[in-house]
Amino acid sequence: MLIGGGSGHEPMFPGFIGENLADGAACGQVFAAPAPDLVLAATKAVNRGRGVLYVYGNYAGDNMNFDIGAELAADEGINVRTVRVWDDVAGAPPERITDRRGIAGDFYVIKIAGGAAATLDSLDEVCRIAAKARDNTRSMGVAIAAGSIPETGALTFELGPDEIEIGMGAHGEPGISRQKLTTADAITEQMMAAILPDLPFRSGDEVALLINNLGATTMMELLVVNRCVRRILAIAGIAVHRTDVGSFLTCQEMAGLSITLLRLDDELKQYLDMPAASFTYTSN
Amino acid sequence: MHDSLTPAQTRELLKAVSQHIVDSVDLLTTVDQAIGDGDHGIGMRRGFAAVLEQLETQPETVEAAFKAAGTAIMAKAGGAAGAVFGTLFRSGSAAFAGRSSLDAEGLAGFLQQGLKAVEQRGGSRPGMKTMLDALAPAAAAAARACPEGLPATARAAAAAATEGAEATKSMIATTGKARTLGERSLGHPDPGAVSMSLILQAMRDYIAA
Repeated sequence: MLIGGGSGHEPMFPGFIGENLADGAACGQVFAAPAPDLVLAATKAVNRGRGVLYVYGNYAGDNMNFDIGAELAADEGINVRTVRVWDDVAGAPPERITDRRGIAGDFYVIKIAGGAAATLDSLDEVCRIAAKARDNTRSMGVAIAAGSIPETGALTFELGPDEIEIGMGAHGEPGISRQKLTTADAITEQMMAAILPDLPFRSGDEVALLINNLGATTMMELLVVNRCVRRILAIAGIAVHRTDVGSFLTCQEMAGLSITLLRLDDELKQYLDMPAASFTYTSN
Repeated sequence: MHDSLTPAQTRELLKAVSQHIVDSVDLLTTVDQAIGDGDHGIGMRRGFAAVLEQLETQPETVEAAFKAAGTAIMAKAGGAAGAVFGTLFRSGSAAFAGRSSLDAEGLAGFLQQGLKAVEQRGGSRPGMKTMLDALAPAAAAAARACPEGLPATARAAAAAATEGAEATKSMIATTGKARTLGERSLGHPDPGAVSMSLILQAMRDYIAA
């Protein structure tokens, strides 16, 4: 499995190469998709003769460059399938779900697809399972302060000292609503009110929960948000099978976080629960 | 004033275009910060600086020069810009196949072929607030101005592209990193359309000199 996209989101993507995770990552310049010749070289490097699954976030640049890479790979006889992640509910309404961006939900698709790729013989099966993980994942982010592009030093957006941006993208691209800073609980309730009905997540569902640091937020704040999310889920009758909290898909020094829910079934749980290890992430 | 360009002059043309994009990095950065993530300028600079390097190998035909430019852009710019502008120059270069010089017909053909290839690669159409909103009018204007010769064709293309980029200010972004902005994208031009107009302005200026 090959993952990739722009740099600047570390540990995503190179931090998820490893045991039962991806086999390689094609990393572009900061916030820019990797060029096709890099995608091709990475594809050839990870190919073991059974084909390669591409998993990456749904962005115009990544889509075009990975598509060109896939065409070049096909010219060399390598079978490629693609699963794009579009978990950001702020990106577009549900009827245009394929217009949505990929944010921290990348993690679940990579972990599950990585487990499936390590276990199964069929590229089509791995692709099916990755797509199912993608289809059951929903996220939303909030930004408190901007990150910057190292090359220019310029902040990727302007935000007043008492302002937040709900639905902020993972590159600092503007989100859907700018509003005044309020409590973590109030912000969490607002975000969960958008996430839960979007799938929809229902009473009786079992989920995996990811509270993702977009860069400069303290662990304490992530845990405060986690507490609020757990309270909301308990009231909604939704059980949490596992929780991950930390930096998974960041945007340089952006202050903010994202909440991701993955609705589980037995098959997704099987692959999600497999042990995994990379230089930045370990799960027993 | 040139009514047709030799391969050597074509290399100088592409150098002038590349230098203009490299010199415009701050403008393009600012334009992209308003509605995107602010990296359009540095990506384009990377891509077109690579074109300058690639042209040192002295491609021998007009087609080869444009194709080399496209290859360099696609390999080095990265991102959507690399894929789109790389495709424009690579696929558009086919319009110069078998031609020993760059003339009005060739330029119009380059814009038309490039337009088709970019639409296919990106899945966008004019009206969606992308570089196509500069390229499509430029291709149409060039086709119309063809009979008047190369300088007139280049002028018409540049003027149409500039107008097209300006017109993107009143469009709502539908693709790329700006698309979630909705109405907040109004009043800001599309960075790719601005780049397209800069490319054609530089071509016009070289041809006129």
